Amino acid sequence: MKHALAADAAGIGLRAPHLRDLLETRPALDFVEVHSENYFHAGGPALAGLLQVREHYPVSLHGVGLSLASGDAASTPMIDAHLESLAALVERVEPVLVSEHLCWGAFGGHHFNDLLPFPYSTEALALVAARVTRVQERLGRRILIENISAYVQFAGSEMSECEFLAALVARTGCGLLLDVNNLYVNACNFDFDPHAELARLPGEAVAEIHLAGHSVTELCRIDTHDAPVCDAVWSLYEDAVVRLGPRPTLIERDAKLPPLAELVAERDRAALAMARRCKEAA
Amino acid sequence: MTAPDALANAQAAFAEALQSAKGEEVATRFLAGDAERNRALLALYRGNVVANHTGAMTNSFLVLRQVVGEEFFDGLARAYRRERPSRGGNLDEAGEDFASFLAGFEPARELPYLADLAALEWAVARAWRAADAASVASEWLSGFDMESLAAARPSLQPAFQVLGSEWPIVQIWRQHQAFHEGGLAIRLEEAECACVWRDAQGVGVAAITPAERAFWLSLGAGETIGAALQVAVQTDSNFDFAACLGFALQHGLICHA
Repeated sequence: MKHALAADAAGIGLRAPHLRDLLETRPALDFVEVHSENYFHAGGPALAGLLQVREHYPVSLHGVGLSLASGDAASTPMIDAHLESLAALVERVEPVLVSEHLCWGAFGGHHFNDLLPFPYSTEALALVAARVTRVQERLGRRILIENISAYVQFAGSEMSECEFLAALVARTGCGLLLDVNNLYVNACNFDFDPHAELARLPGEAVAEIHLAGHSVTELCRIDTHDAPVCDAVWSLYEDAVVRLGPRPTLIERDAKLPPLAELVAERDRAALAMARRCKEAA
Repeated sequence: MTAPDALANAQAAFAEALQSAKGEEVATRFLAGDAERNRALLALYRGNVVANHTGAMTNSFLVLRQVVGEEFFDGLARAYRRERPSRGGNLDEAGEDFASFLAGFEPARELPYLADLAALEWAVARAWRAADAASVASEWLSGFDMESLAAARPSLQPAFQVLGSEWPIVQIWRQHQAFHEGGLAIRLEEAECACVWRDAQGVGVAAITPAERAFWLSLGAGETIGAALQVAVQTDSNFDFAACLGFALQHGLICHA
């Protein structure tokens, strides 16, 4: 099971509490996506459940712990071990997509288990490109790299995140996972035009889009992934599909999970918006 | 152009700020924009790191959290992370040595059974994700005479683990399960050994005797049934070999090699 997704596929992020409901009700979804690390298991019912899901839906594996941008040698063994766990899971699940974030989490032998930003420099580009190439070689397939939401910017950045991603695509042939919510959150936090930033991405490399909700605090917007997609993000999404054409789109919810049907309804809204805007643009 | 190790320098400073507010000042020098605001944003990251870790620990140590209360548990998890930071990108692995941390953690001394309870909960968490294995059928025993049974070295299911304790850890664990009914008083002076396994019903936990524990440890180390039996009887001359094997077959503890 490794068929590519249709360009206009729409799915949901699948979290453990919804697994049984999904298997029993089998809602119409073009694919589901799970966090790879949640299934780094040798066996047991969670993994068995995922393999059962895979009988009915294409599964995408989305990683949060590889730490592609760690700039120190001490993190390399951790990254290598993580890659081996991922490779074992990829072999078992035969996912339709494999993705990771443009971030670091490990440094100096510690893993902070968060998606952390870094200076978008040529030095970092060389390092991340080498890691992405290594991952792609080990897995024997192209992976997608996702833009993150960030709360700080680095003085040492020589380019924007999307420019960095474009350069990464050119160097490694990787694909991109465009998180429209993350792009919007950053545009608000750092006061830039998300449309202009979107235009810097090589559109043909974008192989998936994420949609999620976020929180607004006095300090900044925080990517909590715990709420429905907000109107501004829907609007940016519609602009993105007009620009890029239809792209496999995923509704992501990591916390405060609603009933499965609510996520499916949000997925349907994305599928409709994608179809309508692409038809209008044609 | 930036210096050759600019990335590592920025991350080293950021990592310091993630561990302590004392690191904020240096880290802000690597950031663009207002330093005061950046300090607050670094604190936000620091809080997220703690929250992610505490959340993962909560999933693995639900009983312990109920026993000590949320606030104390969160403090324990923070102290644990400070002393033994996460070493991998999979947070499910956070907590691997929580039991040994607790054993030496002074503020937890008033509840001396916490370390063993943590060890039991970790064994349960491991059992859920251990490798699958095909258990032998209950007729397995009929394939042996006494001599060949004594010489057998059966494989045990990967989820199976045994623990020793000076405390009634199984009773404590059981009292905090959703299926537990009634509030049996726990007699803290009753030491319990525990075994953990996985079958079609999920992960099981049962109290076992020290002799049973010795038997399983011996088998797990690759000894023959005869040798394990000898160790068990040395531990307790009343060791019930038939009951022990019956339990193993009932829960599928013995697997095809």
